[in-house]
Amino acid sequence: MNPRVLTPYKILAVAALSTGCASPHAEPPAASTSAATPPPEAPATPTPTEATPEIPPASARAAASSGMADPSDPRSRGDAARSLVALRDELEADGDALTRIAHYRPLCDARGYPLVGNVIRKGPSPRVQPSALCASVRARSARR
Amino acid sequence: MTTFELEAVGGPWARRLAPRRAELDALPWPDVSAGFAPEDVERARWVWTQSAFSEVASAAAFAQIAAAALAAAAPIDLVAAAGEFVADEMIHAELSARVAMALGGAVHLDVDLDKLARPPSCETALMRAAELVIRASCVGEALTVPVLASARASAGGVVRSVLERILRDEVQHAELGWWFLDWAGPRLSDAERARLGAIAGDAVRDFACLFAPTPQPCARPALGALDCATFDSTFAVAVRDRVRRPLAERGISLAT
Repeated sequence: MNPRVLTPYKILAVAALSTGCASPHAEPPAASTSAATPPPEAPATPTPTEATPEIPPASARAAASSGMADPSDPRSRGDAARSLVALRDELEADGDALTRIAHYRPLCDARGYPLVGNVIRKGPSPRVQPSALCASVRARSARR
Repeated sequence: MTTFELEAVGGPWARRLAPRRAELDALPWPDVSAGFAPEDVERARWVWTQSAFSEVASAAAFAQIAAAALAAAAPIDLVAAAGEFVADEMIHAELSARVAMALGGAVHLDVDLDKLARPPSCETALMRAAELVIRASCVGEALTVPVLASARASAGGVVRSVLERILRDEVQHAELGWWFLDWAGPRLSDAERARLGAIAGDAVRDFACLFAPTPQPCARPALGALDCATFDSTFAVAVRDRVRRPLAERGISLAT
């Protein structure tokens, strides 16, 4: 059998900022939200009536990964996920605020092995709510 | 440590799994978070990312159980079930990933894939299999069933459908443990039963960090996440009715 060139596609990727902190008043982007670089026809800066979200709203981000809802087309699913990952990588390399993105650990036993079962349904500890990051990310974006 | 993400390769391998989740493909995935507050969505992204990883860890556990059960000369249909559960768990991981992605993407979860499944510590093949079954099936999956049922009761739409799908399998995953112990029972000594009771007690205590020593503010149930009061009470009843009691019925006393 001849060797194949495989191109696995992401079915789970970390969100752009891994915080869920979409701009509260942002309009959904008109163009593809999965591209970190705006399309050529897009204005370089937003007009006063247009808010440009630093993070696509959840619905738009879901649309960016819309291939997930179309498993019959794994290539499009892969393209969408790759764009999402590219956006994530670009944002992660883009400033000290992003180094404070909340990182979590799975629930493990005393020896560091993850617990079996799907029991974790409570949500994160209030001590590590990532929402605290959102304001600083927005502030940073506003300073640019 | 590595950031937890999942990928698939597609082609015939995706088609092979497709029938297992066919009924869920038509659900309105982009609408998952519609109408929910941002803090609910944020919390749900955390829960569903954890869920995806828990399912991967469960797949590793059942792979381990299948091998150990083979070594213990367990009945072939029990071994086959354990092997099939690996595929179930991967489907659950995919479904959890789809919910997380529909909510905006995973949170940063730092995982150690070199330590995905805890190796057994017992000496004999039978006890190694029993140890793994107790931890994964008789405790982990047994506690999962009522917790997921509570989450389903407070969920709607896509999330409810996904929870229903996962729950349907987890009931069997929990049941496997009791069938294994019923087969192994005549081969176990009193000392071995005591050892298994201690293992079960440790496995239950491993979940203790889910419970804060003092009451903490806890959000309302939404998108598959539970409020603290519901979670805590469901968990406590499950330990009594789904772990301690069935173990006792098999001569194994849950060590506390």
